[in-house]
Amino acid sequence: MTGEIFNTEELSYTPKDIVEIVNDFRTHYSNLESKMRHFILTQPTFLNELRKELKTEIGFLSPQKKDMALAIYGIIITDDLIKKYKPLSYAEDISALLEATDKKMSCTDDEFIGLLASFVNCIKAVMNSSKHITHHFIELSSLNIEDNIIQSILILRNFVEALTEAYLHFEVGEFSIDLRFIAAIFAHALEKIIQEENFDKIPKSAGRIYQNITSHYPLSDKEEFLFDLIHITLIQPYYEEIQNTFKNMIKRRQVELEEKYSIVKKEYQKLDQRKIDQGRIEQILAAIEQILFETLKLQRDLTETKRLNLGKNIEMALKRMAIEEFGVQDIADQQRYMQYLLDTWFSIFEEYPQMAIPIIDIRQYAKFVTDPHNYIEENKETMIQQLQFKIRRLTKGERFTPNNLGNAFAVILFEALSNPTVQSLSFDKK
Amino acid sequence: MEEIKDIYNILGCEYLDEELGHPIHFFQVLENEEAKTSVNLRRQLNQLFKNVNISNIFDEKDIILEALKLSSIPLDYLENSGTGITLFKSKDTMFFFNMFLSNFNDINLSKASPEIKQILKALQGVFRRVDYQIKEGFRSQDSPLDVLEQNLEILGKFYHWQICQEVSLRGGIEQSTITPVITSALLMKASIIDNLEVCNGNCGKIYSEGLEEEVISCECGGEIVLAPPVTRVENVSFIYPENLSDIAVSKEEVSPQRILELIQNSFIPMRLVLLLNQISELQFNKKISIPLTAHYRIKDTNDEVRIFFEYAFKSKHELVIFACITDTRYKSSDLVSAVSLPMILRDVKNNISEDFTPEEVIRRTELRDWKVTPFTKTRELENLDSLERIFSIFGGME
Repeated sequence: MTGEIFNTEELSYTPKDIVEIVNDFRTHYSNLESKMRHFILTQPTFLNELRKELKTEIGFLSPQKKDMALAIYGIIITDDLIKKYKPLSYAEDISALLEATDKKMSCTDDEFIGLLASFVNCIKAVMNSSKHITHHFIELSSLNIEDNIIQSILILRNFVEALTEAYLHFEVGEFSIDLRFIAAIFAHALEKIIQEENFDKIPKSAGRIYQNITSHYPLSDKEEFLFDLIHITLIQPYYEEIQNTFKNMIKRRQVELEEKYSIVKKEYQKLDQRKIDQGRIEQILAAIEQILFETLKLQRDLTETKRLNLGKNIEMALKRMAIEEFGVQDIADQQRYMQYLLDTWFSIFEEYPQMAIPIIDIRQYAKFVTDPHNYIEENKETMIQQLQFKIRRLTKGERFTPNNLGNAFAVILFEALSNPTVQSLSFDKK
Repeated sequence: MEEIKDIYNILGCEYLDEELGHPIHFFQVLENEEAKTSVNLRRQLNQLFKNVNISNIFDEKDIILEALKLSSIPLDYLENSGTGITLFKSKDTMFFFNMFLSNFNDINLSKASPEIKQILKALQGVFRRVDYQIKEGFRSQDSPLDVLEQNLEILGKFYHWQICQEVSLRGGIEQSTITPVITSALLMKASIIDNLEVCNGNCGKIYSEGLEEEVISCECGGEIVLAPPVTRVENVSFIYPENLSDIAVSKEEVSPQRILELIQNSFIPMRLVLLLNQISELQFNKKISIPLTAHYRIKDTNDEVRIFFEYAFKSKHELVIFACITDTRYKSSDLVSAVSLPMILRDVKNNISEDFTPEEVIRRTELRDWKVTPFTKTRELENLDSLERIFSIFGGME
């Protein structure tokens, strides 16, 4: 039903342009090479310890390549190129990587660095596209579409494109790579995404998954295998698991879409850009509306559970907005989260101007009460500073994450709500 | 008034079993918009096509038919806007065909064709993987059929959903990589033969009209039933630019025979209709199918030849069909861009009167500067190898 207001064609993966992939490879390759040499010279202790730890796992590499491989691992970790990457997984991945390429053991040192550069770029691309695809998956699941069809959309409009893109990361370095290895990286990425929600699940390394795939999937030399390979290695093993993992999010989205649908059904209006932006803010507002309404209009009590729930709801809303806008839930641009929150504050003030009282200059109180909307408009800049200051203090100066921002927001909101002046005032139009 | 309200989406696949040396088929039939799988129809199709080589039913050489859109009109009710039949096919090591019978006629051929190719590619991957596993002894069963059928079901449902629910494969403009030009056009007078009889049994023999004695059963033991009506093109008039044979890729390419062949390939193969007619549910009986658009691909170069049709019934037994051939291989200022096609088709339709001559009709369209031959009987074309010859023998309008 809800599909009618939703363009399912948009839930397709758009791969990166080939030019961008070529550039990625070039810059990364030369960077990696110089950094690696530097690392070998400056970090002998780190390398030695790592070498001891992985003694057997990377025993197949020549001493020279061992150093290179370990140094590159060091760079991956220090530069945070791949999140939560265990040394053992890395060793397993490298071993599988060499098996999966045509270069095998015969590659030169330069080729080896190139191969690792391709590999790192590929993993990064896969992590990114998997997140997009998971998001598409959640959206599709909330549209009441038959599982078979969701699976086909995931394969033909998402994974095929994303796998081809990931494959290109090797091709630009002139390496041919087993498609099953790429599929294994995707499987690993999906396991990581599942782990983010369900900490008990320990993801297997791409290398280990690759061994498993090659043992039961015999061929992969042609593009025509893509559908079947994805179906067997990514959809069959993970489809239900991902759907279960994101069960709650899907349900929430379903409710949301049904609400949207009923609104659209009631009165069809042309949306302008302002209203679309407004829609984003409304996602947070939806999360807090009930508390505001209960406290300020129904005069109900505030409880600690309510505050915790509120924090969680805002966190989810922030993540979802980030996914909607950028395709990932952890965005680099931290100010963007802050912007979402500030926008939300001012939307709250529109409906409940009394909420602004704790952050206004007490000397201006009389002026505020006579025309709160006008006052807020005039003093927007100062109020923004006040709010930012409060949020910074509550996040203890740490990097903003949806989690700590959600909690900070909830605390400020509760502070305001428990303020007796706020509770006693009402600007409802009589 | 009889009308097909339901939607039938038949997906058929054929591959050659190397050991047995004969083709193996598997089908998927989806009914209605909700993509209900029709097990019954699927079984009937399997039975019907048991000994048939579907790929041989289509008569083609180096210009491959990929997609065909037809209007299906009940003979008892010619004013009916008709229901739609859309046919797609694709071939690699496997042969794939899809027939979509529905009450709507807006499937976008140039969007749906790649979808069909994707289905075929996916199935081939599955086939090669399973076949390998069987040969290497990783699998206990001896045929990949089960796995193929499961995959066809998944792919078929998605395809059906894209047409009926998502509507992404319908409507829009038929796109071509480069704007083609119109190379020639044809006006045809066709008669509708609705009294053919056919054996409903294994041999499928067609009995010609006007049987003297009433034969009830065929030699093979099958029942003799009325065949669906067919059109037979009897008179043709060619419309072409003066120096067409100079612009043409080859002289053979623009021979009257060849052009007519292309047109005739744009009808659903008679053999296929006769076979499918045995499934009474599909209701081919008493309905005439007229092509609206046909997409061809040149085997070696991926160039596109497309034919656009317009028709007008003169009576229950007589039909005028106009066909315009466009081709991406031709480049010449003497040719008319296919952008003008909708106008030409409309003008032709409006000008077909009770008794018209090709000259009169064409003079009122954008093709007015082209040569127009008078109506010529199709069997007289056999010995004529160029359009110029027809023109010089029968005379026409410059």
